[in-house]
Amino acid sequence: MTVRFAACLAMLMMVFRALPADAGTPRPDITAADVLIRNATVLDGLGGEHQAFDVLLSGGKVAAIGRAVPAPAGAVVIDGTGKWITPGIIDVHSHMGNGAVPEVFGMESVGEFSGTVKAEVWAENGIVVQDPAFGRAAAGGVTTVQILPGSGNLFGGRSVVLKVVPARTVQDMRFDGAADGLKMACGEIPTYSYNPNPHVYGTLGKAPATRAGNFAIYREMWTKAQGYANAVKEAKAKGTKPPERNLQLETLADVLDGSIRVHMHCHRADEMAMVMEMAKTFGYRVTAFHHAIEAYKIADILKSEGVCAAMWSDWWGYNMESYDGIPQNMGLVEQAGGCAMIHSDHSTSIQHLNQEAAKAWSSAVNSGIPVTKGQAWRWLSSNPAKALGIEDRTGSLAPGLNADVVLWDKDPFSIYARAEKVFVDGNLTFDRDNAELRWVSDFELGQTGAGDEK
Amino acid sequence: MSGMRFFLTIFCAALLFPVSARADQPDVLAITGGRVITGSAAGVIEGGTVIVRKGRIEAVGRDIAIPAGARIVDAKGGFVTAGLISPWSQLGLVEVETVGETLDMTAGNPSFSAGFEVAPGVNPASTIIPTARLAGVTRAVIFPVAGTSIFAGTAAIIGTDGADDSVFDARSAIFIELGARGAELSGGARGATWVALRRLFRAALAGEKKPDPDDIDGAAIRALVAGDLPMVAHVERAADIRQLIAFARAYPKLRVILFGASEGWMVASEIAAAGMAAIVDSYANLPFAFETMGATQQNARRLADAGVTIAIAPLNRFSAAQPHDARLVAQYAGNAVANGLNWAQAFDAVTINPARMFGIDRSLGSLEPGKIADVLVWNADPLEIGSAPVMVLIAGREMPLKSRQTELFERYRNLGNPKPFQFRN
Repeated sequence: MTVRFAACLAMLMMVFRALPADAGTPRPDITAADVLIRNATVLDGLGGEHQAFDVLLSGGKVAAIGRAVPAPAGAVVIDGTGKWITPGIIDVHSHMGNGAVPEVFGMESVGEFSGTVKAEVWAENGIVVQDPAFGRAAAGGVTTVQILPGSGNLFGGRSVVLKVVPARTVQDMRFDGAADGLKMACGEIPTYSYNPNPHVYGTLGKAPATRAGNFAIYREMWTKAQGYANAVKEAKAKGTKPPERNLQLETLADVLDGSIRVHMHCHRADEMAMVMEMAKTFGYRVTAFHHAIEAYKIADILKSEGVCAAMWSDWWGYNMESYDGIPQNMGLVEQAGGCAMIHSDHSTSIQHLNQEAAKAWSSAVNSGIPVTKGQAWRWLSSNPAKALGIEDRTGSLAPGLNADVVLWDKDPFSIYARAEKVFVDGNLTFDRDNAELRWVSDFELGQTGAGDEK
Repeated sequence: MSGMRFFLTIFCAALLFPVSARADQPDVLAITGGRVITGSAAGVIEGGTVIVRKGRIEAVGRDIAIPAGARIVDAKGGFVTAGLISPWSQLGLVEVETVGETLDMTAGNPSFSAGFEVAPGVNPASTIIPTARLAGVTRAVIFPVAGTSIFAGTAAIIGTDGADDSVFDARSAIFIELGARGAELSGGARGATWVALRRLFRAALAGEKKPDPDDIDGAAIRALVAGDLPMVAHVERAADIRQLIAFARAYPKLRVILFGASEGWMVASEIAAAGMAAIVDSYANLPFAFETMGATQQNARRLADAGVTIAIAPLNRFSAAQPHDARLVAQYAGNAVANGLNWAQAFDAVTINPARMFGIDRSLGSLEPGKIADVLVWNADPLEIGSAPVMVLIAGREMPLKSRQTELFERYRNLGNPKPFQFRN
């Protein structure tokens, strides 16, 4: 109790200091002190599970992990006995800020439903920083999120990677240095988004009306992008006037040269296989398929092609392309040696991604697929970090990486576990024992329930 | 073999399968050695025995003689419980939400509403039902979703055995929208909802003297007023709950179950005093709408602390119609425990409490002699992630632990097998 009191006191001493290298603009530092958590079970995010380990956070980084780590002078020491430490959760598929709460007219910015090709749209421009969901996600141990445009467009636009921190502007949240992403979508949703007479294709006479039509437009756009990229290159080489700037094709050209990563909403195995083939013919790579309901049917191909699969533990059957979902999806991708990731896509499930991972993990284990808890935590940390190109900054507890860390009150694979303390860059973003650190968004301030335990 | 005869043979074989599976069931089953969660005054019995005979629970206790010839099921190290009851879903009413021909939860016909019954539309062959059964759900209260009227219609209770007679109770509750959605359906204002509701009730009671057989709504509302079945009312805002409590005072036999009730905790003692129960979602904690401003995961515990009978369910994780999440009731109960509700209350919230709310507690919801033998043997704590029933009895019949999902898993678990996928049956 006294340790907890001391910790609270230290954290309440609001100190402002220059931010770690990652951040764009200054943000308040909640705990300037070093933090040493002792004698906890540690999942290192790289596959390992360690008993009776200590973790030291210092200067916004993971400074040490191991047995009997000495406490630096002035460090806040937390007894982790019976508790668990993990890297912060990285959700590779969220719409927080874009699909802001409340879900009412005026708040929606997920889908730019004005055309099938919207590569020029940037998700970050639609972020509502004061979306109450950010604070709820922090309380669930989420430290980093990729915000993606919606799946109504074949090319939905650019994603943005954010740190889940209290902030005033999007710039305060941006994970600088993360790879840019392009959201693309397969299948049913882009087809009926433009033919809205309940799921009857082609009712507006607009393309695409079919899944096959989707591919025709992908090919058309990649062909244009190749031409654009070549024209830019040629003009540069010859010193002639470049083609008129085209923000759509510029984004696609950046995909072709590898500087933007493709995150593609794709449920069906047959469609994913065709997308990978198409990508090869145009010379680009798909980084990850999202909502990859049928990843298990082609887990070996995904592995050999080096493409990640972002999946739910058990959401399925809401349309025909999700009809074949199974709870062992994650486990089978893991078994094949592939890159499995848990994603939320929703502001409620993002709050309990540890439970979602636990469900997927136990579905695997109960079906005879050997996966350890340590391996399973990679689905929430180092695998999405790799997909976002930030694995050398966050996603595991290796010394030198950002102190994006969660202290759980018990085994996070238990339904009864809850995040107790959450750190981003060593700063507390949530502390269950300290009501002063409860997030109250501007929207909620002054309204029913503001400041309540959520 | 002609195409038609082949089809008929397959069809008949499919029909026969569950029947023949059931024919081998022994008359008497003794489940021994487990931690028995009776859900009754007997509490938890460590190393208890449950005797099942001819579809009914015959005895529950510690030192019970095992009848001669009984099949003995060793539940040592596991849990033995009553079957879970999903308090709200569209299980059996929806197969694929985007495929209209598989949807049977909404009657868009404006000429009737409360009297619309979902029961005749139940598809016992839905591939979703076995997924709920595998998670221990043996009964589900399945609800209509409102179309053009504040009254969505009449809910049913089904067994998850997939049998042709799986409708257990065709008239188990009537669902009504009384919050923001109710206002929308009433023309755009909450006040209009209450005018419409009072009129509907008065008209129904006026029709009692000379009942019109085609006035199915009137008959349904008269059944509500008589307390024959409960009215499940979707209300979130505390003020709407207060309006409902005031309305219900005029009808002393009316049994009200609040649905959603995000701000129920704010008026918990009033709800308890009015004798109303509540179905809540243990994860809801965001103001997705203005009417859920006060939503918190503490709601279940606070309501229970105030003495309100609660049931816990996934109410709308992603969409309005929800067949798929019926299987998640144990997880949702577990999450309420993580937020302070005690374990026994949480378990009651997915077993005996919904049984009480929907008036089937004499026959289901707990392990007590004389009740229908919906019995589960679990490998671990039923509310914990990863635990699963290793035996599911519905009315005493052992159910296969298979679903279309487990078959897909078996088909694809070994991609290196040279046998073509279509032949892996």
